[in-house]
Amino acid sequence: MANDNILILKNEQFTTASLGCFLRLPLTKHNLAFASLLTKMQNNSSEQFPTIAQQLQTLDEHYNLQFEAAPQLFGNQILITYTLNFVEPIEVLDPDYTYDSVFNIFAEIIQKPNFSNDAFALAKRQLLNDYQEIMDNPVNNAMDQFFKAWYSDEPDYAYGFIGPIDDIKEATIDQLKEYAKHLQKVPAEIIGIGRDNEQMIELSQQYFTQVNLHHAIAVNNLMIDVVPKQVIEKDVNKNLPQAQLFIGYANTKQTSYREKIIGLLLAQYLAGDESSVLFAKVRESLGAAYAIEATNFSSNSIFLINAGLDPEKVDEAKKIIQTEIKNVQNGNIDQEVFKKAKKALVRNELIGNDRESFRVNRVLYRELTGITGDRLSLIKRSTISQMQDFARNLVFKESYCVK
Amino acid sequence: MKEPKIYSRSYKSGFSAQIIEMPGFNQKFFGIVVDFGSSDENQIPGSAHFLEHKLFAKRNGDLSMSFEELGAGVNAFTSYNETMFYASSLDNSIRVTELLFKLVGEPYFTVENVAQEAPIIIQELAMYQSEPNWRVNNALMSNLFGTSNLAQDIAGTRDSINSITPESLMQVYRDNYTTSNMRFVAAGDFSQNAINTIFRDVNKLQEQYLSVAEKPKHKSQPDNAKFKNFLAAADIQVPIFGVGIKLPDFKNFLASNDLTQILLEIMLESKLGAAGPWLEQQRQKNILQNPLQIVVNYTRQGNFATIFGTSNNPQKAVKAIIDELHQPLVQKPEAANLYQHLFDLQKKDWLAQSIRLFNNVSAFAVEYAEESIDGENIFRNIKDLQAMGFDQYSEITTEILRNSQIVSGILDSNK
Repeated sequence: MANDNILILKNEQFTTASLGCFLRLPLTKHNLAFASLLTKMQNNSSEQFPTIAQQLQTLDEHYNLQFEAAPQLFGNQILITYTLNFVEPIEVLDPDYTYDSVFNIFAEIIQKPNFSNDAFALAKRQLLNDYQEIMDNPVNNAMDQFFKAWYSDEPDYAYGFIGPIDDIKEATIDQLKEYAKHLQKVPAEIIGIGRDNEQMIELSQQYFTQVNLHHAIAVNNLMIDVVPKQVIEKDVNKNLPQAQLFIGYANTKQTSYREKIIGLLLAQYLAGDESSVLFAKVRESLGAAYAIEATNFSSNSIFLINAGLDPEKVDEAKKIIQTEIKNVQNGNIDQEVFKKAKKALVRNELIGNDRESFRVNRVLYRELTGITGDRLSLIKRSTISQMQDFARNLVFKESYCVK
Repeated sequence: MKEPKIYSRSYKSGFSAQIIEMPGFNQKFFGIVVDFGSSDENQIPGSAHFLEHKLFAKRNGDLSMSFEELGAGVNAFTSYNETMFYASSLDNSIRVTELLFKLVGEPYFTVENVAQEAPIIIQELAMYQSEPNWRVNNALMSNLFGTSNLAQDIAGTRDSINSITPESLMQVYRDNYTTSNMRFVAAGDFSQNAINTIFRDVNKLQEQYLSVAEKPKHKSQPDNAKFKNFLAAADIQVPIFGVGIKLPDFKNFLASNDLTQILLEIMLESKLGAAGPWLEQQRQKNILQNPLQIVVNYTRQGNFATIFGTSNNPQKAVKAIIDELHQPLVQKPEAANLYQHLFDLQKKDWLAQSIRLFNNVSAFAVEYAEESIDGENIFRNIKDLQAMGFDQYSEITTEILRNSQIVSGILDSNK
């Protein structure tokens, strides 16, 4: 059922309900840093529940309401994402636990942040701590360096985690209040799934009065088609027990939904299940890695392959990766592996549908992009030659290795 | 809360099977759990995990490929006292079940394929070791459990992995992969007819693939733990600390290990978690910014809790945690009221967690298999928790903590 930008699916299966409130704004490093700061504060406390303990106890009191606030990146846009997963009231039959009480808490936390000096200072300290902890992990650190190099000419797109920490350190509470005020005007949408979806729509209208549910959240073009002008190849020595290799190909021609699905299929073909070609060659034959991953960041025009590798075998692994991409480009594709990759994507799609968050995210993607294509049917209809065409548009642009 | 229907069969060989009916889900889950894991005795460290990897190797190649041909995904994991092999599919229930039995029931270990696997597992270990808190966790476990296998990483060490042979693997396999030591579990939307067919098929397959033997007896071995604290420096920006607590045998306090584990987690969360006052005090002193990670575990080789966090004052953080652990739960009437309230909240929390399990086919099946092989029942435990009074909870957890030993580990920043 839909009403303005409120869309709640009927839950006929799950013991819990899910609710998401999504605010869209353009991706800039400033917007990302402030979104991180604001959501960190909202995860901690709010005007009505001004300490972490009070907010947490309120969530626990309501049968472990699972609240999360965080910025998500979607190409050239940020989605400030507030999600709530909660036990369907009919499961516990507690007269004090109702949809109304749940919506009240959710709306209070989102719409009335706690802008006290203490809450602001704590969120800053926490983010600095989070940032350092994230960067102390070699995989995150390598990924961060990879993206910073890729987007060196467009720093607004260079931050995958949190945003520029210096902007957060220098932020003032008045600037953050202004930012929060501005968020009341950006397009927002409420998407959820629950047993009484009609009541959830009514409650959304009643409680979410300070988010803009009247402007479409959809954008014409989410794609970031910025790619490095020159090929970047960087090796860093840090004496790590395991090397981290990130190899990036640009593909600025994946504009249709079908092409995005083909990109997903190529990722599965290369590094999905055990039969995938890089799993077989880099892990099983070369013994260089435990895991290898391929991801099509379609909204960023990046096809990324990364692995944690034996430092002695990085060069061989890199050669195999590049050779296998060339093989696909030349139509030298293993038909059996291709068939298995398709089956795996069909399985993942249908099993994914067993989860509430997956269903909400699918609706969100549709609302954001306007794409209504039948994903399952596109996967089933995809062909080897489509995958070859997709691979032909891949251009090697960056290799980052730390070992 | 309506519990799902669970059908059970026990076979003459000692093998047993459970099927959990979960209507409306696309996923069909099939698993075989073995009551044997990394910390069990009589193995080169890492053997249980190596076995988990190497059972996929068959004379005709990697059995994963056969699962994939059916559109099924297959995987496995090793924990301290269990190894589990599992597959997920949309259909082909009988063929997937057959492959699963072949997976656990047809070992094919050769000098070549064992040598091929070792570097892969070493990279898996390197992946864990790359995370800075691995060093702290490893030090805590060594200082709590000395020379026992429980002190080692589940994957073993680089040396132990390299010393595993086809013969040593086969010995561990024969000792532990037997009918009385294994269980089958399936979960999903099955018709009654399908359930009957799967049970019949499982009966045939366990006869075909598994050796009949009594459950292996586990002997506790002295671990010569030294209970030292650990301090080192590394190239990290934010120091990491951990507190390890060696806990006594839970059976001295309650019949259920699992319920005791839950009570201890509730107690530690109440004392040190974000909903209580202690963490707020540490924030005000600028000792801690973020919540701690608290885990309680029970194993045949010993029980323990670990508490991890990051702080720019790691020594002060560790001291504050240990001081708080030494405080009785009920000191003053106002504290009693607070902890009673937090206990009531945590009861609701656990009730909600059990309700959430019904929405996840894999998580439910894995949890159920692990619990049932330990003789536990999650629904019974949640009911017992709801009925338990604060005084009993307080008494049990205080007594357990009084009989515990504590060590700490700090990985400081060398900047």
